[in-house]
Amino acid sequence: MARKVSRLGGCGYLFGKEHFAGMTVEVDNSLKVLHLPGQHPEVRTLVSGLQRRDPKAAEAFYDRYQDRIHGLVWRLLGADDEHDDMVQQVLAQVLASIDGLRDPDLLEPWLIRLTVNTVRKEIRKRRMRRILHLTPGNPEVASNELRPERQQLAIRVYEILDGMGVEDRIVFTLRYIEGHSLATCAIARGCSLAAVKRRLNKAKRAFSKLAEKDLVLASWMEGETDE
Amino acid sequence: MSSARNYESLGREVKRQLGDGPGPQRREHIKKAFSEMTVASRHRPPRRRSLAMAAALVLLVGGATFVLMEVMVPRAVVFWVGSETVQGEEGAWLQASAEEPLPVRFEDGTRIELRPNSTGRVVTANRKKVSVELGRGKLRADINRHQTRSTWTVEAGPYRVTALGTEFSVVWNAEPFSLDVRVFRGRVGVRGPGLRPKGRELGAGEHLSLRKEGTKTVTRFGKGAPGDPDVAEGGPAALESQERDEAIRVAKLGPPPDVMHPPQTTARDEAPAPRGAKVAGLDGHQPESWQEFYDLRRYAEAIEAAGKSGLEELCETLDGRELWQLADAARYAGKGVEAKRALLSLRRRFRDSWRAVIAAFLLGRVAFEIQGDARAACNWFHIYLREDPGGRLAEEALGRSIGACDEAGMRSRAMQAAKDYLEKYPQGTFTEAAELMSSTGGDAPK
Repeated sequence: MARKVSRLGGCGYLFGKEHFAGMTVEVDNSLKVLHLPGQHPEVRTLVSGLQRRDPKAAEAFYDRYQDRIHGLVWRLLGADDEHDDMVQQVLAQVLASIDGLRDPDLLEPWLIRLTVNTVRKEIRKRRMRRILHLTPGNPEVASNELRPERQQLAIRVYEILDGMGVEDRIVFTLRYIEGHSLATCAIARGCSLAAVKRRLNKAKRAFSKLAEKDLVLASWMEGETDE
Repeated sequence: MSSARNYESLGREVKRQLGDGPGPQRREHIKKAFSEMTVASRHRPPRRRSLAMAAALVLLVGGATFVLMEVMVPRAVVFWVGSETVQGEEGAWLQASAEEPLPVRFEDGTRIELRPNSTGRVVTANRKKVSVELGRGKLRADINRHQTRSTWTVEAGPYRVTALGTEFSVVWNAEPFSLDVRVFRGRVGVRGPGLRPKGRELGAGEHLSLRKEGTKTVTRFGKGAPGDPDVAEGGPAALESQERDEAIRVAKLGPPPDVMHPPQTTARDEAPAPRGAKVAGLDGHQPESWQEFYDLRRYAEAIEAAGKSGLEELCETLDGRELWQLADAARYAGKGVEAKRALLSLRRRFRDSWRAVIAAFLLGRVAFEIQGDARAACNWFHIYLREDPGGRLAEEALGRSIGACDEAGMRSRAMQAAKDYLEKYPQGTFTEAAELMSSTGGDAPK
């Protein structure tokens, strides 16, 4: 007889499957996973097609997930002018790692984590090069595609994010700009829900401290409660 | 701490301003590239080759886009005025206060400074051309010719000063009429009334002065002029020691500015140009040998000339000092192969000299910054540290090795270097890099 098990928060392995908040798993009496509702059968076809390096599968994959990948890269890097290169790096990484995806049902969380990891690597690399004075100015701010007259707030926010630690910047962007739930943030960072909460509080403190100096942002920052 | 709701509303507004990224045309381009990348990765060992192909495609697409953009619309060069976060606007007049100079910093590393009580504005700033207008007063410019691809001009009244990769100052006043251009490094061209139609080219240490009454004088100041404090005294040993100190300083910071803060001389106490001074250009001697070009700080031409006379032979016959200069010229010109050749020759032929030791550090910088070979850079920095563990470049080598080893994928060496750095230099120049490495090393993408 089959029964359904739901996870309310966080993520981890349940019955040998990666399992995250909101996911309901259907298991049999011996706790063997029967079905992961919410995933579509064509996802499995997509994954096997990508593993065979089928260009049609690649196009279908892109059509299905392009909004997710573009949106994530766009907002994590802050409308960077190397956005297209970055997305191609993510796609290259997809091809390089798709053979290692053991459970096709987990394609979407896997993709989010892979995208975040690729962007994280890029931010770290840029920051390291800036510290070593190999790149002039402030590349994470100076090279974006934002227009001061129309996107002043976004520019200010990304200038502040640029002054924060890499992990703080990522979790803050995922939670507040990208608008993901804490559970999805945990999946994207590959850590527990508690770790994400701790990191988010740290990121908020850092952001708030830097934003205080900016009159426009300071007006958004009034009030006092923790998540 | 602000409420979560405030952050959420802030985030929503930022997301709205950012939009969803590139439009359908760019997306379609990426889709096509991904499809091709997928086919190209077929029948190949899964990981390495597909990545190499992807990287090549990324480069190809990126390169093509870049070239197209450069040709069609020169990208704007961003600049910041005064404090680091205020982005400047083209055409807006800038006024320095009576007490303090007003710095303007460009993204390519170039810096101009409006001296107190001076007025100026950035008229155009893009990858092809940067034009600055000096309304009144004094402006000092330090053009980063290693990074910039723009043509730099300073307009002062009817005069135009064209920078050819250099550091210089311009003083302009309409009433009473006066123009003074001093060149501290490199060369500039000046055009305008009272000068020949082709203009007047000035080299390092030259000062052009124009006055209302029609007087035009070109004088020399700073290095080489009588009373120049830079002239070495104390015999060969002191000279050698000075050379070593200068070599270490340059290895650490970059090319030497000829005269960072030249004495503000007046027409009365300025010395005339030394007889026979080699000043290339409109009215002077034309340099031919690599050393002449080197003396004029025309490094790319120096390396070209060295290539014509046989770089291999030069590397085998020049003495230590000359070989060092050749390596410097190649580094400043961004010629990685030639710089590496000269530095390796230095290490082989003068293995017991201080130059051989510093050459190891410089080989690291050449590998990392010019050739993009992070693995070689990591190794060279460690060779330097092994040969001169307590040397004056040890902190620099250890700090730079963090980034080089990290970029080369030599994670454990990078982590070890970061740990050693933080232990030895907790307040050092590269502490931020070391902390970044230590704090994010464990969270690296898997």
